[in-house]
Amino acid sequence: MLKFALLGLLAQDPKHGYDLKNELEQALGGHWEINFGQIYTTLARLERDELVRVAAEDRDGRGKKTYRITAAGRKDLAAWFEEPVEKPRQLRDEFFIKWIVGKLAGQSDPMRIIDRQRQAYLTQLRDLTALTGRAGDPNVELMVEGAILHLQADLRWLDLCEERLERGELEKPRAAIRKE
Amino acid sequence: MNMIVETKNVTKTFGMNGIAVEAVRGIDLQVREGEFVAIVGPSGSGKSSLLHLIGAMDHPTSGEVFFRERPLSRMNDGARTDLRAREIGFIFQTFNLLPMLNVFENVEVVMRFGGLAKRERIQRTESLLKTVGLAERMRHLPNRLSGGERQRVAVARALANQPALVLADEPTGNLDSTTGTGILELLREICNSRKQTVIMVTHDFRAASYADRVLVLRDGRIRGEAGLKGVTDTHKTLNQLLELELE
Amino acid sequence: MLLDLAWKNIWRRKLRSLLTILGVASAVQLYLMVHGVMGTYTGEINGQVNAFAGRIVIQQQVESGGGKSDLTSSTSSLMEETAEALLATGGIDRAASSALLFVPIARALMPYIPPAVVAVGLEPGHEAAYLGGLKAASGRLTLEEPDEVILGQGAAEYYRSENNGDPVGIRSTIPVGGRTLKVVGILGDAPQLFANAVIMPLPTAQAIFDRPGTVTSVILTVQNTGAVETVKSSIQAGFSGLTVSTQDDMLRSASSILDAMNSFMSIIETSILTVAVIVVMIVVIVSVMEARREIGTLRAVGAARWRIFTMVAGQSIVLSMMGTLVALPIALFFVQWGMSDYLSSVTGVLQVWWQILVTAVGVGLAASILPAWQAVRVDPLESLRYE
Repeated sequence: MLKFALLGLLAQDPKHGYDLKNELEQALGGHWEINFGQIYTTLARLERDELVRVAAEDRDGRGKKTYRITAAGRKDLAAWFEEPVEKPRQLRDEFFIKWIVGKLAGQSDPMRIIDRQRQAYLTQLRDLTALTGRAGDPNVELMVEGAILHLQADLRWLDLCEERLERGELEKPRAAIRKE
Repeated sequence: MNMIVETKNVTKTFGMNGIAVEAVRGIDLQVREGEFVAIVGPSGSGKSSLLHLIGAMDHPTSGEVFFRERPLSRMNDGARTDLRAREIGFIFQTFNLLPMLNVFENVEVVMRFGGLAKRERIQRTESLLKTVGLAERMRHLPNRLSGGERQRVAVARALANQPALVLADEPTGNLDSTTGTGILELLREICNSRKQTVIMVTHDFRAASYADRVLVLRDGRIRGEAGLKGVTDTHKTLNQLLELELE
Repeated sequence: MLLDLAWKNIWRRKLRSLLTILGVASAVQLYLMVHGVMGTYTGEINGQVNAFAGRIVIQQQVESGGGKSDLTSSTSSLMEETAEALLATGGIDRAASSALLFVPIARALMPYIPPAVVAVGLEPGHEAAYLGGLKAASGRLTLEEPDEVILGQGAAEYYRSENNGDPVGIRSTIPVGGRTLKVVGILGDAPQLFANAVIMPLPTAQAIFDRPGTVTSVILTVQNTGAVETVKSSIQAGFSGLTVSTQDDMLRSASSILDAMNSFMSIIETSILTVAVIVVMIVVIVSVMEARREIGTLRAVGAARWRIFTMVAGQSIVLSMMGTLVALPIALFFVQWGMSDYLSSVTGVLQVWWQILVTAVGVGLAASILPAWQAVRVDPLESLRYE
């Protein structure tokens, strides 16, 4: 992901690694501090793949390089923009595994798992709603809204888990689509 | 902390076309002074019925509701009316402003029920309308206001007699999310700075997340509870979120 | 109090409120008319009776059917000889007693009311028998020549048309039954019985109306007011077939007629007011029905039942008072223009302003009882009804 972020920033004009970090942080509303090391390992990987090349190096030789995007880099970036994102947004996998494993192990009370999870989601939701209108950047704002909507869906899903559990529906096997 | 509202095994059964519908099935609830409690549940979960029982607008089929340790069932209509006037403020989903009264009058009229003198009523109405950001629209009739503005008037009206308890029944149900957020922030503010207790009923988790405590209601029973009190670090939250998104 | 809400509820439905007000106005206006007619009539009869204090009227009814209180009945007929004998009764003031001849010139507007204009013949020198206690507006109240006449104000007005439209005063002449009589006096304010009289010497009247040797009645004034009943008994002992009426008798017969009239009129008045009450009630019931949700909201935010009551009662009282307010100028208009004969007492009714106020408030209050009862019972939960 960082790969395309850096390519995108370099698409306009050549930049220092330091400039890249600043601009990226600014674009995200100044809420995220990006690790320098992360930036340089990514740049190194891009250079290896010939998607960027070093345009200039400071005379004092202390590694202050200016990077420029290559034609291959532009092509890669353009292809990335064209493609829709295939992967669905993250499922709350771990909770689901806890749910299944807890049932198999016969250890935890599923109701308690739900309650605790709801508490956690609600706390996250509270924190995120406290952010709306205060993130500073309209694009980041949009991301916050997205996260809120996801949390709301997660909470609804918990409701559904609870409802099915209460009705005892989770004990009965259902007709399922089986592999032939 | 003192309890402002307490319910003991409260039930409410409605007769609908000859079929008895149990809206509330034995709820024990305790709300402390100064708390902001959200009751969340899908429609038909009995959350509004519960709110009406707490607000002395309806009588339970069995069980008891206590307001500051006074059992509501022992009060006659006059005492209940007085309680609604002086100690409880009600915010409706459908705003329920009086259409023939302007913004100012809608707020002022309930102060009469609280027994305030005219001068104080005028002064307090003006300051409340300033608080909810409608000082400029005092002489407008409700039908010339947007939904959000109407609900702001309703919030001002609910605060008119400085009640200890504010009840909100789906206050954002008829509003778009931005306008709704404004109302929820207003409710949060009421609780934080005025030390008034707020009980809000909603089907919207996002709205509920403004509360200190969330009760989940289903089929007339409390199914779960979550405490949300604690400090929020805006910067930290965003950082975590971005970390998640960009990894 | 929620009286301002009552007022705003009225304003909210302007056309409906206006129609209600007009409905109430026409009912109240009608009520005032009926009340006025009845008041005029009562005043008239009482005035007549009062004018006969200490006097006895003797008549001999030829036909039955004439009311006893009809003092000017022209259907009575007495021979002059009988009249002479009556005037010789002991204990009377002969100077203030006289034989009289009443003959209607213009018909009465209503039964039991004296004829609109009536000729009265009386013995010259005994004018006090009829005119005792009355004052002249101009001229004199004595008849000295055979062709002299004294007019009541109503009669003077009646002859105005015969006088080229000019006011009839002393020294005017009027034509009566082919003779020209000279006006020598005009009566001051007096009950209609006198105000409509054309008073002339008895022989002149007998000649004009062709009633020689007969009179219609004899009026005796007793010397001592306390002896009225004694004189009456001695007349009844000496003469048979005569109707002898003292003031008490007149009062009795007058009040029996007035009582019957009053109970009849009060049925009409009550019906009219009931219509007004129902008009207001319907409108207020409808407005309560429309406002159930708002009333529920008011109850939910702490309005006590009595406040809801003031709102509904206030609305209905204001409607009724506005209707009354509109009715007053209409009623006065009718009084001023052409109907003053019937309605002279309406102005008197209007002067007792608190009575009107009480009536208007009463109509409003009566109309509000049912809708206010409905409104007061609205549950706070009705605030949640969807419209």
